[in-house]
This record gives sequence, structure tokens and C-alpha cells, in this order.
Amino acid sequence: MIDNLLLGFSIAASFENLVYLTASVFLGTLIGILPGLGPAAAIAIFLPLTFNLGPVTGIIILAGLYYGSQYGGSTTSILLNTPGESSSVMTCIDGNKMAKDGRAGAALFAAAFSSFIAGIIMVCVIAVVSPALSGIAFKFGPAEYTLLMLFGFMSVTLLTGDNLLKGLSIALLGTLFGIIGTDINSGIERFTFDSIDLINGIPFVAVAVGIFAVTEIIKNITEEDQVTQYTENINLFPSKEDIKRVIPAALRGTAVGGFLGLLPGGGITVSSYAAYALDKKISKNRKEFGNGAIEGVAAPEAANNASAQSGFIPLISLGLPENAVMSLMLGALIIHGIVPGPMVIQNHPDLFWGLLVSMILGNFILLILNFPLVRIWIYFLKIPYYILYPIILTACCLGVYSISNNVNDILLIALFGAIGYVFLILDLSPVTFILGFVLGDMFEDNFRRSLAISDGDFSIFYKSDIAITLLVLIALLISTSIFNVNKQDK
Amino acid sequence: MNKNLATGIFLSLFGLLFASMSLTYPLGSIANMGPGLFPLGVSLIIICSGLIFCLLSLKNNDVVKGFFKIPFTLLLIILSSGIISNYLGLLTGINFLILSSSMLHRKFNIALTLILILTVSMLMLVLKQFIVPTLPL
Repeated sequence: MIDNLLLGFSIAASFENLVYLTASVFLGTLIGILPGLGPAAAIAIFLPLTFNLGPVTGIIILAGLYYGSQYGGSTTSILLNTPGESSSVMTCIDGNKMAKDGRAGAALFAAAFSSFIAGIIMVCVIAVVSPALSGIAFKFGPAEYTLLMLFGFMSVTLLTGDNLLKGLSIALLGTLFGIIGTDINSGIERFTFDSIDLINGIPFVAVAVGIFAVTEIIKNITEEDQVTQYTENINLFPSKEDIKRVIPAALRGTAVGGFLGLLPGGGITVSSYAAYALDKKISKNRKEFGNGAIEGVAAPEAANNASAQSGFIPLISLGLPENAVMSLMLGALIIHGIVPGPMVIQNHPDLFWGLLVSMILGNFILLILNFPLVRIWIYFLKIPYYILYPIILTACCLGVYSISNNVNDILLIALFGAIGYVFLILDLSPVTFILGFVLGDMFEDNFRRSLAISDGDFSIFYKSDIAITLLVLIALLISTSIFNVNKQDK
Repeated sequence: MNKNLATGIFLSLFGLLFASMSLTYPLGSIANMGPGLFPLGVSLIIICSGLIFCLLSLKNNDVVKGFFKIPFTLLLIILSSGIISNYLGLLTGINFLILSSSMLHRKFNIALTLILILTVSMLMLVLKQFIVPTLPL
């Protein structure tokens, strides 16, 4: 373990990676601060910029953007009662109340410090759990992988509050879009409309940018710009009592977020809600909740950061992304020629340990950044959205174009922007679509291989213990969904 | 329009498109699948699900709500900027994108937009000169 951590340190602390890491957490914080630009859309936009860098640097940058955005969302929640991200909504309740009572510094400290604690603990958890989980994943054959992906589609659908049939249909639709291009078994081109551009499939970045970034712009463009300025002085130093109260709440939030982040579809928003609800029930100072309890800031902030980081465990060890951002990470790894799964830790130790150590360093950098730069972050909030969105659109188009120097990819952004908007107005989940799109090839390949191995016998899907366990879990998800529908009908 | 009906039609149309194209590829057998069988199976599931949503529309009265003018225009702008970039170069396409997309907002400010266009154009020229010489401006 020590050797591996040293290897990771030598990679993450190299001058080049350190510069990229600092820049990415800085940008991530900025993204978290700006309402109207979520981490998924931002990662989709920055994805092309990482292609010319190595896979390790590329993933370090994307991960930095992701957890940086979790930090950033808290600043505006506390000072302006404006959550930059949905996962920071719970921080508004007590954080903004504290700011109004002249305790903005203590609230910002609680947010930054609890996120830091959560980040460091989760890095240790990932270092221990991922290799162990990879060991189990070696027992997975194509049938088990097929079931695991099906389970992933269903659980993401259910845990994001979507209708199971709807979510599964959209995931399957994503799968169909994902297999466009040359069939690896027969070499036949499928669904390409005789276009040379589609022989290698639809570019993932064009899909991600269209579905997330363009749809987000469409959603925000009609909304009012609401810029509130915070003018009070901020005393950044917390009292001893504040520190005493923050640590246990941060630890509880880390446990809740770390666990929920592991579940497919668990997500950071759900984690922050759950951590807040738990602390409101069991904290010694529960009566203060809603009126400026520091635990009300520490618990959800620790939870959303822990959840953001624990999502890397299923991604790295099983190759299973459990939310939109992780799907984008999976896409990025595949583009860099790395197939996520149990072999990653063994075949690419530099990537796994480099990423882990970069998270530790990134958390330190964020802690340093978050305090002195608070005023600068607030200044960025003054940029009106009507200036911001043409820049975002330009970055989207230039980014997608730069990957293969193909103008037709810009047309694909418009096409998937349209599909994304249909999803928006029909309440269909873009997350399950992108999950299906990314996993489409693997899903088909594993399904076909399973049936080729069993000579067309479907019993291969319930022959091993792992397959039976996964089938039971799928059955549980279906029954939960039916129960939910019946409950809604009543 | 009823939301379930719209969802049903959306899914069925895509399902039918992929199913009809799948039939043009070799299907093979269950044990030795051809390139058409898997997408055909998935398309059929999507069509069935689309039909279920069409039936559910009889029970549920949720209607589709949304703005159509701005999204449609924005998508048209992106599409046009792609086409313009193809024929007149990326610089013209991107400038068209910035100008026309800015005009969509009710707080459109021509001076700010021109500054933005100038800045982006200069950045792109620098990009071509020093970093990406192949950029088709």
C-alpha cells in the first residue's frame, strides 16, 4: 500500500499534474459557484481539452472539476442563499441563516473543513475498498456483467425517482445509440446511414455536450438573472466550540454520503438531504436546526463531498458508473484507451493511485483556495447569464470540433440538444440515456458472449451465485417500483 | 399534448426506426447472434414500452409543458453555425453563433456582444497562430 501511495504521489505531485490539478479545482469551484452550469455539463465541455494529455492527467483534471464544484456550491449557498448546485440546497437552510446572523466565516469554515475531512476519509476508503472489490469482480463472467449493467440501469432509474419502465426504455434507447458504428464481431457497419463519420460510432463528447450543456442552456435561458451581492465583512476564523461541533457532524455526513455514493444512482444530492435529515434527528443541538446550526452545514457538505468521491469505487473496480458525472468519466477513460473494470488497478496502477493521491492534494488545495478567494468567487457571480451562455456555447462547439476537426460534430450537438430538450419536457432521464449510451457496446458484447458460451441457453443468467444475487436485487428493484406505483395510485 | 402519449410516440418512433434498420442486417441465431439480432430485440422492447405509455395516456392527464420557440431557435442556430463553419470557416460560424444566440436573450446588449465576438475572434486567431495551426478559420 505504501509503495502504491508513493507511486501515486510521484505522479500526482509532478509539476505538470499539480498545475493541472490546481487549475481544475479552481475551475470546479467556479462551476460550483455559477448557477446554471452543473458539473456534468462542465465536464462534458472540458472533456475534449483532456484528450491531448495523458489518461492520468485527463482523469485528474476531470475529477478535480467534479469535487471542486461540490466545494464551490456551498459558498453561494451560505452567502447568497443561492445554491450553485442541487447538492448544496441543504446548506442554504442553516448556512445562510448563520451568514445573516454575522457568522458567515464559521459557516464557510464548517463547509470547507467538513468537505476536507470527508474527502480525506473517502480517499482512504477508496484505497482499501476498490482493490478488494476488484478481487470480487474477477469472478464476473459475461453473464454476470450483463446482469450488473441491467441492475445499474434499473437502480439509477429508481434512485433518481424515475418510473422504472420509462428509465429502462431510455437506457435501452441510449444502448441503441451507443452501438451505432462498426459491429466488432462481424465488421458490419450498423445504423451509420452510410456516413463515414459514424463508422466509429457517435462521438461521446457531442452526445454529452448536447444532452447536458445545451439542454441546461435552454433550461436557463428563459429564467431571470438573479444576482445578489454579499457586502458584509467575513470573519473567517471559527471558535473552538464551532470546531467541536463540526467534527462529529462531518464524520456522520461522511458515513452517510460515502455509503449512498456507492449505490448506483445514490447521488450527491440525495446524500446531502439524508445527512441533513439524520443530523437533525440525532444531533445534540437538533433544536437549532433551521436557525443556523453549524451541524446543518457540516453534515450535508461532508456528505456531498464523500458521495462525489465514493462514486469512484464502483467506477474503477467494476466499470459501473453510478451517475451522470461518472458516466462521463467512464467515457473519458474509454476514449483514453482504458476499459474500467477489475483490471484497471492491476494494469494501470499509475492511474488508480495517481488519481487517489491527486484527490488528497486537491482537497488541500481546495481548503487553501476556499478561504482567501471567497470575495473573488462572489465577484464571478456578477457575470450575467446572457454573457455567460454564448461563451459556454462557443466552448461547447470549439471543444467538440477540436476532437476530430470535424464540423459535422457540431451538427450532432444540435441533434442531441434537441433530444435532451425532449427528455426535459417529457420528464425522461438524460442520466439513464447517457449510461445506456456509454455501456451500450459492453452490454451487447457481454450479452452476446454469454449466449455464445451457453450455446443459446438462457440458464447461464442464473447459474452462478453472483448471477442469482444480481437477479434477486433486480427482482427487489422491480417490486419496489411496483409498490411505489401502487402507493402513488392510492 | 398528453405527456404519456408524447413519451409513447417518441419511444415507438425511435424503436421502429432502429427495428426496421436492424432487419437489414444478418440476424443469426440466439447462440451465434448476427449484428441485427441484439438491436432488433432491444428495439422491440422499446416499441412495446412506447405502446404501454400510449395506453397509459388514457389514464393520466398530464400535459407537455415547455417553451418551444427559444429552444427551437437555439438548436437551429447551433445547426446553422455548423453549416456556416463548413462553408465559410470556423471563425464566421462561431461569430454567428455568439451573435445570434446572444440575441435570443431579452437582455441582449449589442456592445457587450461585439466585445465578446472580438475577444473570441482574437483568441481563435492566437490559437491558430500558436497552438492549432490546422484550425480552419
